[in-house]
Amino acid sequence: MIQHDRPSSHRQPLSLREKLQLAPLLLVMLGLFGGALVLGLLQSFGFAPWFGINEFPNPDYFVALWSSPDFWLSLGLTLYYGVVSTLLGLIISVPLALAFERRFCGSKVLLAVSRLPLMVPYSVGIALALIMLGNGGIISRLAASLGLISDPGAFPAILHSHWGWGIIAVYVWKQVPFMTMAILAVLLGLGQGTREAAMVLGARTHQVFWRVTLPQLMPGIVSASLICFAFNVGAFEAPFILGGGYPETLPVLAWRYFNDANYVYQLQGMAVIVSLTLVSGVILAGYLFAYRRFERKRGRL
Amino acid sequence: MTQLRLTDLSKEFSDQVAVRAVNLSIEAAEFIVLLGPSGCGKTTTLRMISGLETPSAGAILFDGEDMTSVPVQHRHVGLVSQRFNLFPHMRVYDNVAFGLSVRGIPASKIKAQVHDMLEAVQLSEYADRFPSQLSGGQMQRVAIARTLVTCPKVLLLDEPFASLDTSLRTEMRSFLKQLQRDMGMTTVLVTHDQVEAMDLADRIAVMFDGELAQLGTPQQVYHHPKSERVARFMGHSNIFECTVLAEEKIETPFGPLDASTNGAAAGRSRAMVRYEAIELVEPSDHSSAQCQINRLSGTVEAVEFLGAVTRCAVQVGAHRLVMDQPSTSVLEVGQPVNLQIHRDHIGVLSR
Repeated sequence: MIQHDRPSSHRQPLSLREKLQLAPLLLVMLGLFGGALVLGLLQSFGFAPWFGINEFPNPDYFVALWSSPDFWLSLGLTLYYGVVSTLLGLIISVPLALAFERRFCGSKVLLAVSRLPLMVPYSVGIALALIMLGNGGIISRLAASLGLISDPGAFPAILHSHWGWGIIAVYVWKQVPFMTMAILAVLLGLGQGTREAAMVLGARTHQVFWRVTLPQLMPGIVSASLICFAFNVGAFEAPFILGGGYPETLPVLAWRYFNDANYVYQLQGMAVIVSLTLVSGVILAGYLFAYRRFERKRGRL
Repeated sequence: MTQLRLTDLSKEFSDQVAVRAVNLSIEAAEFIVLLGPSGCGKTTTLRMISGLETPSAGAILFDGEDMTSVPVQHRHVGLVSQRFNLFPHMRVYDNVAFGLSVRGIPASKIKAQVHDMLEAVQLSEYADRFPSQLSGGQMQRVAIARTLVTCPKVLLLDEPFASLDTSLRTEMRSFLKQLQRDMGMTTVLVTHDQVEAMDLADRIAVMFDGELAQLGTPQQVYHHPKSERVARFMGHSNIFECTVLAEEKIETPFGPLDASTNGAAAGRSRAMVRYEAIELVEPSDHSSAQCQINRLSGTVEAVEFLGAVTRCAVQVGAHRLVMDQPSTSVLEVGQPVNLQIHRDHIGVLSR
């Protein structure tokens, strides 16, 4: 009789070999990430003996931060960049994944080209944004030479404005390939079966998309948007270089505190980081909770 | 009830011909089975009828109206496929209601029709379940209900029983047969299973290499295949060289036999006789001259017990014939036997 190796539902203790295999992950997650998180939390409550400060537990840093209108402006701006760029990324990625699902002339080359931003660092994207989108950039000069505007300086301020179109453009540029890949993987797994069935039953293209394709794409959309949103909320370089100054996003605000000549401000900066972690954690948990409810309603969980 | 006609229907994929000039006329309410091995073009033909594939050449006519370039959404056909393709995120009720709701039918009418259809397929109590909470047979009944509720002009079934186990397959076959008769719907079913085809079809269209090899009733295709390939595909048979001497007369390695020559020209050819078409007769049975026609004598060379039947190889002169007998008859190796083959069960094949 052939016996199949199936994972048993009965939980068994880990062997030494398995513990060794898991060690690198545990070391990074618990040692570095977990350790840093605990240390950050301690600092934000006034524990920094290496600066000569040991007031733990002192909530003043949070009280000061949360009672300042600047913090809430910064938080709003941070969430605005995070949400808008994630939504824009999804709006672009879903149709793109649907297009790449079908083989067409040159689709392989186009797919490879569309993945290029994944391999290019963020700093290059920021530099490209400066070269292309700035008031002295290529697009503004092109618009001026075509007579669309009087001079490059009259070009609408895409960069260094609180609308943050430059920041959003960089986020979207970098994240669309990742989102497209995640959604395309789900699409390829689904196959054409249910969509063809819907068409045969009389559904038009938009009905097939909204009622059959999109609900089945949700796992890919949720995982891609969770990852991208979490990154956008915590990103520093793009809002630092391309942002419009005061009020700044929370990571930039934290950096300013860290960079201050007065070391004491580092504790305030840590309170900013902990607050940002809390807010994004609550948002992500809420999003996941809502998604799981949606899936449960559809019988998938 | 819709009459369906395919004229010179062809489909090419890059440099490969999937379907080559198929001509087929299907009467209203008729049950046609497209039968053939994998890759013979039967599913492509079905997909062209549904509108999911565009023909490279030829035409598809519903009641004489050319539907070749009509989009899939406007053909009003029903398609049930092997994997059912139920919408996993919708309950059974919503799956069945889908085809009606996308057509803009009011919710009150949809409710009544869906309930009637769920009752017809005996799934009323499963209306609130999701597809993942159903068994294979139930999923298939939902797929059929979802299709039939839209009252399609033509019902298309692509190997609908392939993913079911044997007992469920038999049950679903008779369920579908009854449903098709009750609703009087023109139906085209694709399968590679001969038994399924013969059980369900009014007529069978056998396909090989993208071409229609034979079209006829199950009896015609089984007992009078036009070619050796159709004969072999439809089931076990003795196939041997013969010479057509005259109408209904052939010379074989077993001697001269009366046969159904299907209008074959005189000369060398091949003939076939199914295993079960060979009768075992008593040696003393000399009652009439009619009984002496196509009578052969031989010796049992091998016996195989196959449950319902016993398969015997009988040496007749220098050649062997294989026959199936009910397993209740007792035959032993070395036993002399007398055989008789009815002339209608000896078919001359085209090369």
